Amino acid sequence: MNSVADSHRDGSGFTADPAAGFFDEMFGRGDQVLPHYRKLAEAFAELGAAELEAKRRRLDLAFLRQGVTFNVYGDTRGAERIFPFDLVPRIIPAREWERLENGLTQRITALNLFLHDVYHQQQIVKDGVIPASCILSGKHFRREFANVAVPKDIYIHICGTDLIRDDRGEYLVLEDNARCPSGVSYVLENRRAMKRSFAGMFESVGARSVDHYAQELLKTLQYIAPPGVADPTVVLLTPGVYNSAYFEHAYLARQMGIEIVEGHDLFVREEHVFMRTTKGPQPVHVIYRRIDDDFLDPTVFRPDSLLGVPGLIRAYRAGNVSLANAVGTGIADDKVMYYFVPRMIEYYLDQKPILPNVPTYLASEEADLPYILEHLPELVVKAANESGGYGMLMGPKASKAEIAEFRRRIEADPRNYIAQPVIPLSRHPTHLDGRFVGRHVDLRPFILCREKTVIVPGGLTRVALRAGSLVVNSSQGGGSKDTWVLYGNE
Amino acid sequence: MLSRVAHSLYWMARYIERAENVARILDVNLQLFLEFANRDDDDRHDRWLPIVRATGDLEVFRAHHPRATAASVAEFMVFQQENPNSIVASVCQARENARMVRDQITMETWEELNHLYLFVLSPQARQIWLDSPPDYFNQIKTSSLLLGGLSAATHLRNEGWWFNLAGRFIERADKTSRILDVHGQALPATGLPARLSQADALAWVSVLRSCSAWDAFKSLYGADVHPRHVAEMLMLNENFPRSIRFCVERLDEALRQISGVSDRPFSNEAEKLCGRLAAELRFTSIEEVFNAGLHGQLDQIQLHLNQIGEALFQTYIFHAFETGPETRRVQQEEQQQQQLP
Amino acid sequence: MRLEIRHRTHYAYAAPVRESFNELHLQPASNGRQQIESFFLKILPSARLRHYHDFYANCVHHFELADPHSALTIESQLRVTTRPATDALPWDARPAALDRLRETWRVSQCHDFIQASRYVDTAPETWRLAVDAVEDETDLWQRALRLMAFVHRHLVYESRSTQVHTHTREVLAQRRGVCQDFAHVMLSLCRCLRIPARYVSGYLATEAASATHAWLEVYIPDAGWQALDPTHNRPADETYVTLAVGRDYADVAPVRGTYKGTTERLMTVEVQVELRD
Repeated sequence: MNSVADSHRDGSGFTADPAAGFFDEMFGRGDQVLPHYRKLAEAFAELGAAELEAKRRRLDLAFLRQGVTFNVYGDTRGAERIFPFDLVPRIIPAREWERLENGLTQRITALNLFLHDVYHQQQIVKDGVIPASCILSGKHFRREFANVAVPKDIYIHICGTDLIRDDRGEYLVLEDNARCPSGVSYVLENRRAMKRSFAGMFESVGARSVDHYAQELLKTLQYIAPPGVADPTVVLLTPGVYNSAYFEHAYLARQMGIEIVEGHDLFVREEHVFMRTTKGPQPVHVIYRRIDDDFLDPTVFRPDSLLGVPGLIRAYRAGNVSLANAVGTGIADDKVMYYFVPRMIEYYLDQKPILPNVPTYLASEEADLPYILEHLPELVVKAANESGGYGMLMGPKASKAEIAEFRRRIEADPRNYIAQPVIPLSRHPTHLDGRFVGRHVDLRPFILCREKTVIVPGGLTRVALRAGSLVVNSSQGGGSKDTWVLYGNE
Repeated sequence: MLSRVAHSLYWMARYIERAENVARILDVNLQLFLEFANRDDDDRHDRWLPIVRATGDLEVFRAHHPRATAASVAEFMVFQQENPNSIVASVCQARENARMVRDQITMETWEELNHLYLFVLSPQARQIWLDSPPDYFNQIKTSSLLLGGLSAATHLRNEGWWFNLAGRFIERADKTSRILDVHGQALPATGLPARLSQADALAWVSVLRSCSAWDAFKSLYGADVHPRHVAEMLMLNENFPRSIRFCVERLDEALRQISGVSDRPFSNEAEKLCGRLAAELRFTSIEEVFNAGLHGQLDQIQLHLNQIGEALFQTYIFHAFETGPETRRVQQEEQQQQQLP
Repeated sequence: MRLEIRHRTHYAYAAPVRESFNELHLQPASNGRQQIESFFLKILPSARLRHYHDFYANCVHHFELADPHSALTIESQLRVTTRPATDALPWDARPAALDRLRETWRVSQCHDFIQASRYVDTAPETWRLAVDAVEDETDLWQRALRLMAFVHRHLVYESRSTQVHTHTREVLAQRRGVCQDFAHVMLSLCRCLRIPARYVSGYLATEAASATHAWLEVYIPDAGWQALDPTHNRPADETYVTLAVGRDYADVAPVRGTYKGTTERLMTVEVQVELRD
């Protein structure tokens, strides 16, 4: 039964490396291919190295030609890169996925209850579960939005929650992206590419479809249409063509068949939002906004900003237009709030969390701070409100100077930092330079919330392409894989 | 359709068409100038300048190049990004506009345009250019024609399509008039020209070639080239797809499709101006054109096309693009909290 | 005191402006020290007014004027009866020792008022000033009074020496300013010492009243929010009418907004406070 691993000792086949001490998605902690990977491993074994290399080149070229690209912040204008794509899909058996689905549904339900509470009664604060200071000091807590009723009481309509697996193969939640999570277009494009390149394999293994994401997203957006609007006009609001996720914005708008608009395409009259069209103003009812709260409306958030749609918040308050996600969801993906999510689940749902957090220390807690400062070389330190791998210290890889710099930053502003032990992320065989090598991966499923919670099977598997690296972000040399959720368990 | 989107589709088409026409102009003139290899520098300078003028960037050119030579003009019109109408700049602009409306164009169109964009920026493009300029120009022309064909074959005939078409034909009409003007300026200010020298005849053939019109011309007028026939073909011919009249009539049709108004002579300024220009081209003879002066007439046409473009912008786009000091967003003045003494 | 207050803000623009969106903090709330009898708000050109309550429970009116207009008038008329605060601490009270500061930090409504905010920072140099000003005083209320006296002494009141958006840093550097700056500086000093302090926008019933006034409130355990006016070095009494409270001026600007059009404009503000009867 070891045939697959054995048959390619020349380096072109999959090999287990249990001595490395990581959980391997394909081999677990042993040296046998796990049952749900067996068909895939066999199919890959039949492909020669040359054929694989050829498929890979074709795919890269196709991505570049289609402009499936992202922009890198801080890079010069217009610099686009393709998000490197790996040929070996990640496979999740049905049983495992069901548990993830339940865990994520539980989590998003609690987060939405929390947001409603925190912008209204703040019962969770009054009951002493979360200290008021943790909420009030959150950079993304929107005082302007206290007591505003949002449609159907849903705040987070679209959430991207990052999951990792530790060295025992245990799934842990790493963070929730509750503002404008991106990456779903790669899920859809990766699948399209895999279907084209590995049609036969795709059929024999049998993965659940992801193609209905756009329809589900549109339904989610239509669900929050203002009362009395039977056939709502939904638009996607983008910061523009230089945004790193612009490709995704255009892609999703096209898939949903809705307009993609920029701030200056919209204007407000008598508390209603309109878009400027060649036929004159057309009313807009739901805005899937892919821009931050700060840039929505200069009359409310950033009087110094000339971006945004003046009066938009006024129309929103009046209930004439709906926003997804709602304003102020950033407090839910604050890394300090992350610490409290398991408590939220217990508080609001009276349930035990299905998916645990990574153990976390708050620098603002008097008990935790000395521990963090003493153990910096072993910990991962994260700024509370940054994402994309920015503002982060990887203790074991950091230089003395970097550690000293973070020590200074943490001491200056403890509220802004959390620390976690380094989790040895699971690895996945990845095709690099003609060989299959183990590289660390995470998983970002995309969660849609309306009258029910919908999670398209799988999500974005990101892979750190550099040997030994634990950072999977696209801006830091990460790539992605297709993610296959099986109908069964093998 | 969003005004901004219409604007981008229109300009995407214009820039593609522009890149193609610049390639056409340069291609035939480079070949033509091989014939004049024995002339002196001043003469060559004088012959190249009108070509620069045809793309309307004489001042930018002078800022970058002291003399007009084959090399400097080609560099300027092919690669120079500072020249907003160079081939490379046009392709970049077209692609930038396409990027802003990716959800509105078909995958095929996008892929081809992206391909063209990657090509013009690649080192390989330079190499092809050095080895054989005609091969380079062919790539550009083929790509542009392919894009035209692709959108004709895949684009829904919706408003976006008609904006695309309007952009393409307004640009083509303008460029044809400029190509015709390159050698028209050597003619007497008014009246029909006398017989041509052999060099001048070659120049007029190059004009036809620029517009892919040489074969069609021979079938209509025979191989004997006279400026009168060349001008008639490129200005007034009803059926030749690069003639000014043909382009203006297509533009007129596109404008009417956009407004959806067909039961009145016109429903906005752009339609009025375009209908008037189309009628003029239809009810004019080439003798009248020459009697009034070819160059002046072409100037007028370019002016009208500009006005049509401006009117189109005002009618459909403007409110999305309010700029200038009066439309800046400013903060209301606030009063400091104080007790005056 | 029974007061009648008229507050009129007028903008004259050099050329018509449009798409004007504005938010107003002009309607006071009734509390133990002031009873609002009537309040009218008028906008010219007329616009539909809406309102909501912000995070600090102030009433915020907002309106839009889409069409071109060359002038804008915002006028409020207010009748209010004020009373001396029954819970005001006497000048020489010593209600709360220093060690009780800690408990105020746990009061969630105090949290925002011990942090830096847009115009108020807690830089080390400011902290130094605060520490020196309170010397060895150990009572919180007495500390606040010392800080107020210090601000009053340290700054020179001078009209037009600062702007509406002047930061505390600049005020401290030049040591001159107006009421708003006096309030901001004292907020900085209080917050450096972690005494909760919030900005108050309002009216002062004096004959010379011609604009809005600004002062602040400090939070003292058991006694609650106590109003102090560093411009006049005195507690706020029944001649003060509170319009709104916030972290600093940015939270409570009486009129704030944006529009499209010229930057050439003239703003005139008139405030009349009259005693009734």
